[in-house]
Amino acid sequence: MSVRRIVHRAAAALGAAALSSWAQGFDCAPLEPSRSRAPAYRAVAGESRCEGFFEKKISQPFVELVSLTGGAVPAAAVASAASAAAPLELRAASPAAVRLVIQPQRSSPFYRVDAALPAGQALRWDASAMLAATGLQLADLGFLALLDGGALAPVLLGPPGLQPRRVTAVLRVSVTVSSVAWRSYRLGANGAMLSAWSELPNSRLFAWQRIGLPIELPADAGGLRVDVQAIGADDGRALPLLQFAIGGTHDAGP
Amino acid sequence: MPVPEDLVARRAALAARLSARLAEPDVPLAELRELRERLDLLDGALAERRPPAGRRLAAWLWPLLAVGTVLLLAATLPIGRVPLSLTLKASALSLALPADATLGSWPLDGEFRAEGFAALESPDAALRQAAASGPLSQGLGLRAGELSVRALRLPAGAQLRLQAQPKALAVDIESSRSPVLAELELRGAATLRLGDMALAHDYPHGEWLLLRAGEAARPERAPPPLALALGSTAPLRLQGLRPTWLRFTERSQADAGAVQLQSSLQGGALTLPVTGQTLALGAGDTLEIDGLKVERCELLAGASLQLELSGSAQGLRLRVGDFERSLKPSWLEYVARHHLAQLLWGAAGLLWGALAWLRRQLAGAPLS
Repeated sequence: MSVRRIVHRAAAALGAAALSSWAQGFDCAPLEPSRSRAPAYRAVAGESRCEGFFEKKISQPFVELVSLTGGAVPAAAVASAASAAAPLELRAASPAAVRLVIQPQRSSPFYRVDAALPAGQALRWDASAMLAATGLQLADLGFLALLDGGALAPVLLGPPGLQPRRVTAVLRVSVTVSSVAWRSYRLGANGAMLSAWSELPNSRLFAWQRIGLPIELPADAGGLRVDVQAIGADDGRALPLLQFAIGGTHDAGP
Repeated sequence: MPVPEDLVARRAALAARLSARLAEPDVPLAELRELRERLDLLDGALAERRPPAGRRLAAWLWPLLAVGTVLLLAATLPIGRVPLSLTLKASALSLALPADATLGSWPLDGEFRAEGFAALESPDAALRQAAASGPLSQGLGLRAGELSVRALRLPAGAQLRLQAQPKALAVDIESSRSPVLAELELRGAATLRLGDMALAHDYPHGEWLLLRAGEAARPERAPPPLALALGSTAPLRLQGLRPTWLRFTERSQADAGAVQLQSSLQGGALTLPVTGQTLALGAGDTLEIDGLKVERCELLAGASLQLELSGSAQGLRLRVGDFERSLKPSWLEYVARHHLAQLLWGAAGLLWGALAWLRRQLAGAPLS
């Protein structure tokens, strides 16, 4: 290949990369792309999406939220994702636009998809590339929809028109814990406690084990805040609280 | 006026011819005289066209002056930004954070004290009521079975003063923007002190509280100066600091109650990779670092503050007693260390040029 052709191709690739990230107005998450695994995390040309493997350093014990969904992946989609490419239809239970994050519920590999999900629209996402690259199954994937301001919206996996009252948060701990407890409440003028601390059943977990937390959404479609506390099994001390807010389905605020 | 090359060549040819004819036996005297006279006339013409001795000297001197000036400038002018690596111990440290920063988390086994905060938020009604009933900004003390500062959130431009105290780290915050937030988590038997009032409560599942100074809605209004004391017998680690400047001073009480600033340095070492120099910092020396770009900055706050820093700085000054100097190396030192081959080749080229120029000057000089 001549030098001129190489330069030409590099310029075209650079131009395409710049165009794809600029024209779509979508920024990738501030992650360090993987140096050893392909595809490394980067913008996908021509789409409001970033995808790939990244590097991660884990320091202190923590409990984290890896998925917040309403409904279940249709059985047909599970079957087709296992065999061939059939895009999943992902929607957010929010009137606002969200940033969709798809990542493995398991502790590894460090693979992540970030995609823009415009208000009131569905994203047709083909899981086969991620499943092929990671060797995971559809049930291993976690889905989060991030609102501006840090709150979350449940990701709806079921058929269109579904507005579930109950959503499932999937929690993951980085160390062995003896128990996991949670509560939900509203802050502000009408700061009402929705539920007092309650321990999740069977919440003695090994490191990186996941546990589902069923959350009832308020009947008035308003937002709520959730605190999750895990107690380390080794020293009996609490891990840092996990705090997250679920935006209301009638407005973007919690 | 330049000396024409053809006159020089003709003079050389004439001189050669005269000496050749002189060597022959039967050459008429008139011919030899004529050649001699022509040679004298040519010498006269060349001497008229040659610059006077003073101007010749000046012409000799200017390349020397140019080289000298370049060397002097290179030896005097410091490089713009000096890479450094610094390890030191100090009792106090001041720094400025140019961008929004989130510091923490720090588990505390002693008391947490805070002064200057105007609001307390928590899902726990008892904590909220206690905060509403007392003058929160005048001081709050908190102890708990498990207590940690989850995060200290500072707006861009905040200045921090850290002072190591026995079993505590004192943090003074001055910010020109709002809000400054301190997020705390507690669990177990907790005691909240607020002025004369004390609230004891057990939190078997844990609780969080947020202290706020300044309003988020009015970021341009500066909050009052804030003072925190983080009680801990174990050293506290501050990671991810990105300061633009560092000062190592502490306040001390002088005579008649006046407060003066003195060095808080207890010792350390400063390495400048540009010159390969490692400077020992003595207790009481004054070190000032400005225009910092940090690559790594870790601070361990125990009985004293241990700082490990690497990056580059635009200003680096050290004062030992009354002797103050900049530690930034000159361009000459930089080039000599990092571009030695280029420097030697450059010097050789310059020398060759100067010699060639001198030879040309000398070639034009009269032979007699």
